[in-house]
Amino acid sequence: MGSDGVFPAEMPEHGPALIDALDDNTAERLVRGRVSPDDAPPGYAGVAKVLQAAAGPAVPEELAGQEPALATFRAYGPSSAARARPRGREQARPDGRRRGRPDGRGRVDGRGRGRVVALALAGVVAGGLWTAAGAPSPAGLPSRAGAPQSGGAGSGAPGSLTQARPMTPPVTGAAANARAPVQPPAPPPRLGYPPMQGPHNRAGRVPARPGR
Amino acid sequence: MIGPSFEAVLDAAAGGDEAAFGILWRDLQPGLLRYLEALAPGAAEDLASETWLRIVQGLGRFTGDERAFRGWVFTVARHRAVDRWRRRVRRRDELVPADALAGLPAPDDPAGAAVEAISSRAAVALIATLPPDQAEVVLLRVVAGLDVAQVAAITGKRPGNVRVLTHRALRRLADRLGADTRVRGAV
Repeated sequence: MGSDGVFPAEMPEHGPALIDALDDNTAERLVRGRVSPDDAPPGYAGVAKVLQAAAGPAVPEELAGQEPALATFRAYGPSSAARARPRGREQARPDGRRRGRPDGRGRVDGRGRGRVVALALAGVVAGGLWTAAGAPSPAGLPSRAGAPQSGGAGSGAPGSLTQARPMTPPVTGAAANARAPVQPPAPPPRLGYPPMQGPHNRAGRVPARPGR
Repeated sequence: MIGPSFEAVLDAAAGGDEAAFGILWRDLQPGLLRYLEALAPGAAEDLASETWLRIVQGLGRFTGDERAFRGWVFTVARHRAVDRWRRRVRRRDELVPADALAGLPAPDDPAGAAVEAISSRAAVALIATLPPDQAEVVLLRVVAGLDVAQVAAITGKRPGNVRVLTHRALRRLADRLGADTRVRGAV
């Protein structure tokens, strides 16, 4: 704030013309720094000096940020875009065929789906074995006859997942009594052979494939 | 100004050449800082960084000569400064860092500082005391090296208006420096 109580930018222009107005050509030369203070029109020597200083060469502190600028260039520049493009596409399309979620979840490709089916079937087999282990075999060993045979691990048979019922653990004790009588489930409809007459079949377990 | 080799430098930078980008940066950064310091005191470094980020991201799509490139860079810088000004208007409680204030000359003595020290910073500080539209026009012409048509395009004014503002600014600077000299002589 100036001594007269106003801001410098609000100070009125000087009334009497102490300094001559510039013509366009001289003003242009001044702005371009082509007028030295010694050659400046009367009253404009200081202006020429100030304008030349404002357009002066860089000082070291003005160039101190070059390394961060180069880092920005490396991170976001054209070369980084070229590098990032395949990676981005890979993230966007994890299976190479369709767009998926960025975290890679939600879509399973054909090979993965086969693995899921195989794991489910393995669970079915293990559950069947575990269930069959409860019944005494003729040799006193756990029977394997109750294991599902219609679709082995990795077969990928569409109907194999429908046979997950044998995974249910056997109910014993009071709980078994409370649930009795247990109705044996109907044989799987997709099996085109007559149900076996063995004890496992009567117990409601999955029948084995004929000939086994 | 880079000159005749600008096109090759720009092509190399657009192709990812760091050294070429460094040439562009060293050529423009000082003027960018001086211009932004007048528009947004204390925030020039941040705004320049934001500006360069935009430039880097759009470098591969830019087509034009050096004159157009300089105009583009300062247009982006001006947009960054305007955005910051709008944010500050919304957040009136934003504090100005004390360091930034300490580095600036006193408002009633920039002329003396400019004439005596005649550093680029003092000169820009003196120009920044002009009315904002005059200061911006002078800085874009002197510091950025843009012509009247470019300054008119960037600021959204007519070329004739840019010339008038430039004349007024030079006259005001001359008056201020002359008055300062007269005051010093009287004292």
